[in-house]
Amino acid sequence: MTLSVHLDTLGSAQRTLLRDLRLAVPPGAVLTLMGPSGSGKSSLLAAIAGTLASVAEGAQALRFKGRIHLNGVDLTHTPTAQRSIGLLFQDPLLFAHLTVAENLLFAVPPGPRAQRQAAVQQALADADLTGYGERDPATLSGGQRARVALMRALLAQPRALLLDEPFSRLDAALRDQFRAFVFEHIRARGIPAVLVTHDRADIADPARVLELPHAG
Amino acid sequence: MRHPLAALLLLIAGLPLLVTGALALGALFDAGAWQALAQEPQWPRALALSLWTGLASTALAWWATRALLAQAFVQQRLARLLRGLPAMLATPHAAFAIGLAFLLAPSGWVLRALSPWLTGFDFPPPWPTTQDPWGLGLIAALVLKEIPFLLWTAATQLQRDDVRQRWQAEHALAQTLGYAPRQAFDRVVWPQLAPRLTGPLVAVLAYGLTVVDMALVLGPASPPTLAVLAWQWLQDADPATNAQGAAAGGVLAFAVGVSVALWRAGQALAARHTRRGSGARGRTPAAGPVHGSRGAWLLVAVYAAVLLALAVGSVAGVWPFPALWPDTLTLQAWASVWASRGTVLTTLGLAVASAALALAWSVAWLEAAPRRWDAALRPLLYAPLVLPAVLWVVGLYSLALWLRLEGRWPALLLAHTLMALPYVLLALAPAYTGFDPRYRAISDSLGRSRAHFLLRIKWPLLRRALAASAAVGFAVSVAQYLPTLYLGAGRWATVTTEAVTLAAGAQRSLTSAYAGLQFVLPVLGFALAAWVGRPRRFTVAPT
Amino acid sequence: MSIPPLSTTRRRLLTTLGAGAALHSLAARAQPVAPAWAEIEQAARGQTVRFNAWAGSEPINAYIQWAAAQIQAAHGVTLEHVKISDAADVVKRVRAEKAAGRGAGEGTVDLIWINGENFATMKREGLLGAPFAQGLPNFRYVDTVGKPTTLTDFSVPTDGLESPWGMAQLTFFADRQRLPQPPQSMAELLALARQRPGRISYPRPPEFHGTTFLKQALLEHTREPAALARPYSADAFARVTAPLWTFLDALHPQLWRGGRQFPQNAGAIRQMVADGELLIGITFNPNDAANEIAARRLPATVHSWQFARGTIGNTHFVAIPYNAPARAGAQVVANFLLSPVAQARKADIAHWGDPTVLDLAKLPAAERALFNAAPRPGQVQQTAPALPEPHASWVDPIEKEWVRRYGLGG
Repeated sequence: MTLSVHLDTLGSAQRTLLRDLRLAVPPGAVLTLMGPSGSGKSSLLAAIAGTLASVAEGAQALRFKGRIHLNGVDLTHTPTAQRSIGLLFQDPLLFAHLTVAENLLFAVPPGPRAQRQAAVQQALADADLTGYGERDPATLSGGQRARVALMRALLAQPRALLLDEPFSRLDAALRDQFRAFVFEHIRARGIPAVLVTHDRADIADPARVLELPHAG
Repeated sequence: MRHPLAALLLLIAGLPLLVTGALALGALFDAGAWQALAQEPQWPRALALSLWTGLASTALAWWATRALLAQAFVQQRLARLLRGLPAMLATPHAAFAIGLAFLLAPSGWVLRALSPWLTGFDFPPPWPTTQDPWGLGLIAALVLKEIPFLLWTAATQLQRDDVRQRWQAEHALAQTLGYAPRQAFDRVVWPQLAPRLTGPLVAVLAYGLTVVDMALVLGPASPPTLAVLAWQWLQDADPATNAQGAAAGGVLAFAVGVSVALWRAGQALAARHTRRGSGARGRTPAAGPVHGSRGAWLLVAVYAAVLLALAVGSVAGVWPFPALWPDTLTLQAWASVWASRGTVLTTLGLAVASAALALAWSVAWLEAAPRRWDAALRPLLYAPLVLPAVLWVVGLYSLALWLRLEGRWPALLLAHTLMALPYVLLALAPAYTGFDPRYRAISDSLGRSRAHFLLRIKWPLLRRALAASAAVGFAVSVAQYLPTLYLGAGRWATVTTEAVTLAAGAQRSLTSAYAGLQFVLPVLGFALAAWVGRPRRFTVAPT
Repeated sequence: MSIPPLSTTRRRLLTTLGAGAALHSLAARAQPVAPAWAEIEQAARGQTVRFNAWAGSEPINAYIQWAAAQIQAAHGVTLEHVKISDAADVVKRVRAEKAAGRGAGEGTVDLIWINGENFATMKREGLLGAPFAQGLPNFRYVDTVGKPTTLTDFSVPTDGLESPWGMAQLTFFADRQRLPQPPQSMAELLALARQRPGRISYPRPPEFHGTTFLKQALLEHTREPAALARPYSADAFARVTAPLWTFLDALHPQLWRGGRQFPQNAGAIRQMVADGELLIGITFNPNDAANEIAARRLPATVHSWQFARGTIGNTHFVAIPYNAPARAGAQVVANFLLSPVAQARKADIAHWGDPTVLDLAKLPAAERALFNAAPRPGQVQQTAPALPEPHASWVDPIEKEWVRRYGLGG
């Protein structure tokens, strides 16, 4: 299940952020994208996930010209909901109106009720959060929320995972722990992943690093 | 020094509200009134009609709002949807009802267009298309009028600083989890948005249950809805009948309370169902050209048809069925409108003054009152929305008599401001309370005083919300009829009192022309608000 | 039987009170003579008179504007037309002011356009102050003999508490093209309804045109007309009104919407006649249809008529509340309204077309000539006798019984 991206241009009418980029990520590997602020890292992830159009009003909409393939299937024009590409942000963005368990349940694909509940409990156990199911997400610590966000993304059984600076809000000790947690799960599932960060310590695999140039 | 100011504000507005409410409800403590009501045969059926029309119209409007909003949100066309709303919001309820009645009546435009070639009618058919005994015409009119209001309040919530980007991001995230855009909206954004719309929803429900002018034009007549009955009894010269009317108003207020409770229970049930959810992802529509929402266009088309009907009706002379176009055209109705132009000044003066006062009070309150007070006291501040207008005016008039203010400008201004206040608060609160508190922190850290922060940062950033809320208060004041009549002791004529007294003569041309005048003022108000609230244009430096 | 006992007690009580009030006013008239007219005119100069009058008609509003201009020029009194849509509003306002303790001169209403039930209410509750009508100089021209309703309003004596202004009589109108043979009685109306079902209706009581329609039918069918001239009696009610309900039971199924729904007011009916939905319109002003034709809201083929044997007629008045601040000014205005000049212009169909209360024979020749106006299309060609209204106390029970029987949509 290789993720391969051929990017011709990514930018708005006024400005081009990126041009002529080639990425290929084999299953279980993590590609680290690095670059200064404004170089278009988050926009590239949005393009791969298909969420480029979801910008706040008034902001400039960006356009992606190129091709995206996952396991040989062309996803360039597929809507986000059908791409099966998971996304993890800096802000865990747990849904405020659902409990932790309901947040996780939300991601589980349709099926028999007992099975879905079991999947949720398993995910909680993996994240070392058994018994936290009925809690209000706002009452969890930053690290706990980050773990729930990752488990939620994984419960949807994505075929690739995109991480947009997911560690930058965590303190140093937590950071190492969570980083190891994330990479282990990615390896276990055997899915390609792209990680965006500006911290050298986050690099997963020194052989797979892409430095994005300055914009403009 | 927050609390003294908040307490003072509470006194200024809360005291008249409390006293008015008490006086209005005090009219209910008359055993004779209840006895008389019990012996009156019409009221159970009238109550059933009121409940049916109010609940059905609110439910339909709520469903339609959700559908339209979902479509606009998913297609990123929220701004476009909102642009057409002020014109629809500004249409006065009674004028809209009259226009709709003219479209649907047995001798109305729709049937004229189809007769006699399709229907074979030479005379208007005896179909009860208006004033039908099941209240369907009234429900339709209420739904059409309430959708823009709910959409507009929902949009003000969606544009709050604190949730705007977050909900967009959550929506995108839900899609990455495999949910179709529409499903993602239903499961993620709507459950967080809906609880914030409780205030407007209660206003819509209360209005649907207690509306008088629309029910008079389109609603059933034998018996009418309980609101109309109460109003007719309160209009009577016999004090015993008045008391009966007050009792009916009390029943109506109770019905509003019960309906709101029922609605909240229903909503809680629905929310629980949504949260448990089956994980069904929903269908993603095939990626293709994004076309505008059909529902939105339908809404716009109906409003356009109604306004056109009013426009043509205002210049129509003799117009027998089944002619599609009037036999004679006459400008007499507009001549009479021109002759009443003095009332426009009165209307403008009252509306500007009461909107300004209501806005000033609301801003001061939202600025100064602690959240706890605000949360606890909102129900009191929304009282004029929930109590039937007929009862409310009884209370206001008693207050004015007691203060010896009847027939004086201050009483009139007080009445209009108290009626506009809940709407202005409703319109302003989302944006105001959603304002990012970190701006204040930054301003303080830069050494600026609070006044400086308010004048240079907060209020300019909230310009659009402030202007829109003022426009809403303006429109509400223009539409007031009973308060102007009672508290002004008939001395002040506004555009609306002229319209209603002339509507009593039931001349289509005059009524339509005055409806036109009633419409123009709030539209201008909203247009001005849009202009004031326009975003600043930054000149883009060439790269 | 059908009227609840509570109402009966209240009715009896109010009748007694009414009698008491009448005695009181008789005593008042025995007191010293009212101040001379010249003094009243002097006091009126500079006052503003707030005239609360129904404003649902453009010609009427225009007439009042004209009167205001004349009065300002001649007497220095400012007449302000306070536009209302229902006189009951004003009754309630004055009553509320009295309950709140507003004394003489502290009110908000100076002059009211009023008659019938509203007048009876105000008189009964003592809201009208001292009598003044007979003291007006122009009162001598009023035709109190030929038009007895100028002294008795719905069978309640006016006692000088209100001054007559104009005459009203129940009149029907229809398009001659659609209805060549107008019905001349209620029985003929029923026959017409049977021939053309769904094309006739009347306003829903308690709207006053609808109530008058009921009263007209009652007068034509009852076997005890004398009982109607006397105050309401619960025992007699069933007997006196039985023929009315029988008639309506036969009529309603032939009416518009099967008699289950009724239009709201006479204006709504007029609009429906103009559209062709209904055949017959109803009004109190014999010149109403002519006005509408002139205003191009009804086709020129519309004509008006009254039933051959007579329709209910009454007088409408202006009255002065007890707490009017500009009492002298109000009297000056009432006097002007009774003047031949004002009455002639009012009767002129070009301006309003409301019939006069004056006796033309009592006027000097010059003034009498003012009343010669050319006939206009749509006017009543053959006036019929004016039947007296039943006593005001019958109105409420009749309306309540109607609602009980027919008001629930069947």
